[in-house]
Amino acid sequence: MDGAVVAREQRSSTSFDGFVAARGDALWRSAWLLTGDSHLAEDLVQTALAKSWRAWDRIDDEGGFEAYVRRVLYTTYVSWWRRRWTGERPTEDLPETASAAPDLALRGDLTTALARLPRGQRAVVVLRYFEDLTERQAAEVLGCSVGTVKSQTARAMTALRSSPSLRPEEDA
Amino acid sequence: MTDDQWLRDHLTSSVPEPPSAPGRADAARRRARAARRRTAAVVATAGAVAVVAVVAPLALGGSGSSSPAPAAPTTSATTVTPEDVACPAGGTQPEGPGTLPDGAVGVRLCQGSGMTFQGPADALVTDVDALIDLVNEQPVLDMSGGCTMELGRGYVLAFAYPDGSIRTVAGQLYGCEPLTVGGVVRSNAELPWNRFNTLLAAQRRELDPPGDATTTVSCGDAADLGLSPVGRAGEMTSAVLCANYETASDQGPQQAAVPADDLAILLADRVARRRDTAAPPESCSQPADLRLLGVTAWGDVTETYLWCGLWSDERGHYWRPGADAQRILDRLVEEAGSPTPTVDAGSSAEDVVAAYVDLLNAGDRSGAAALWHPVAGPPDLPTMYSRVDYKVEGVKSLPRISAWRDATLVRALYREQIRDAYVPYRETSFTLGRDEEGVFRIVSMQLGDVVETGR
Repeated sequence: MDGAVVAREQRSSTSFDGFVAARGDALWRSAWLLTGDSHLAEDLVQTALAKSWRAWDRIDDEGGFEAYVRRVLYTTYVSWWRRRWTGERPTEDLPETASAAPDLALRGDLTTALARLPRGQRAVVVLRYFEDLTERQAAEVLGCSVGTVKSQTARAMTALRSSPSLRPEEDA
Repeated sequence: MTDDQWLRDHLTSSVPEPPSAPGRADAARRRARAARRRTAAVVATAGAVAVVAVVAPLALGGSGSSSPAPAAPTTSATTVTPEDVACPAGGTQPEGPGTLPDGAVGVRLCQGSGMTFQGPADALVTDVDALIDLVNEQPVLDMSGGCTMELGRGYVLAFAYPDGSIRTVAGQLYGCEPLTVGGVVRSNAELPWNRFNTLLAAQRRELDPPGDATTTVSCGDAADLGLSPVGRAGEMTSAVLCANYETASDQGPQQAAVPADDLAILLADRVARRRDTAAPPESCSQPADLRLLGVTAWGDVTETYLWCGLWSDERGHYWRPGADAQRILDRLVEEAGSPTPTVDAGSSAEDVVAAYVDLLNAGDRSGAAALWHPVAGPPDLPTMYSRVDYKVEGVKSLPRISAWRDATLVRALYREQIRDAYVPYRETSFTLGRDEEGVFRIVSMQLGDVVETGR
């Protein structure tokens, strides 16, 4: 490998480190709302970063790269869901005892209610109400139509409103 | 405050502080490089297969024979039986050399620490040294970045040597994918796993299936044993249709045997109509979880399962049945039937309420009515509902002064839904007591307050 290539890789590596240091925690927060579990969230962030790493040199500005990583993070989250060999079965109703029980117990009823949403709806909720993306932006991240985002959002809100986990007294 | 704003505020406050992760970028880079190595290895393996395909006819049929004989196994397949290579009873060897010696006569794939799978009944006895080389060339795992627990399969490869000794290698297909060889933890556990399965499939192509392989399967087998990593859904020689309904009571899957002629039609339709890219929608509503669970001539348990109108398998193939195949599947679902909950003196009060809800949802009102106590007055069955939902919140015994034997209170959230209309849950109390035969029966059901949910 010649010196120029080495220097370019080192520069790229340093910048990538800087990006991860600056934005890694924000990515982790989104991942935590998706997975409800600290370890899975870290796994999801690292997986998304690993998949995106080779694109670092192709994308000029950090904002563009962060959008790229987020897209990978959300689509990876959905693909984890579909990956049957993990033993996870696609279902509309999650079991009463979620896999992320320790974190859910600590973080209260909203995360319990989130855990009961189908993954597509959960992803839309996090994109729209945590990331504050518009419907069109959320559709771009998920690679689906705006109509799908609208319908998923509506179903998610209906489910959250009727969730037994969200009692009035908890709102105080 | 609007719902939207409430959700925004509470999502933000729900997220915990991220843990310190100074090695996150390094870990991501390591994963990226490992993925690149895996991709390169797959490409190299595919290339090697292509080269063999070209070279083999030259080696075997140099005289121009139009039908060369199949290649013989390259090692002493005839002198080693599967019994010679057994899964070790004592687990893996955590200490010792971190390198496997050459010269193993066979290797068997066994269950390790992780999710269950069905290990193949036959041992690999060809090209074992190639597998040993692959294990030995894996780099030592760098544990400095920490490994996460993404649950997957765990396996053990048990290598048998001519002197009767056994050496084991343990792999985990999750987290950092550690590959433990003696006292050394290497990386890339997925590579030996894939290579073993590829080599075993190649070995089988040169041999006849064993005459004593399991030829039948039942719906509980996949849950108990797991699925085979080697078997393919298209190679089923017998199968059952399994239908799992969402029930309040603990019901196993319903099952219907697939006649051989029908299985042949289904498999042919699957070959003709299979797609590799038409992924099903993310979510849908289906009354039952359907699977075709089958066994191959080698005894491998394999399956294809229905999700949102498409049948999928472990390898990411999708199949939308044609009209004839669909008729067969529909008939099998009908034959399998829907679950019929039963109760007896061994059933708890909670079991009886769950059975009651299931019978209501199955439309069996007389069965539901029979779960009411015969001397408690007429059963209070719901009249207008499309589905009953029920979640137990607590169970407690009532004081002995109660008029009912072993009187028990089941507290639950309960609602009678009407199509898609939103119906809130209500706090509901079921009181039960044992009848003359000692079976819990419902004495009364009291609908309480509406449970205010959401905002």
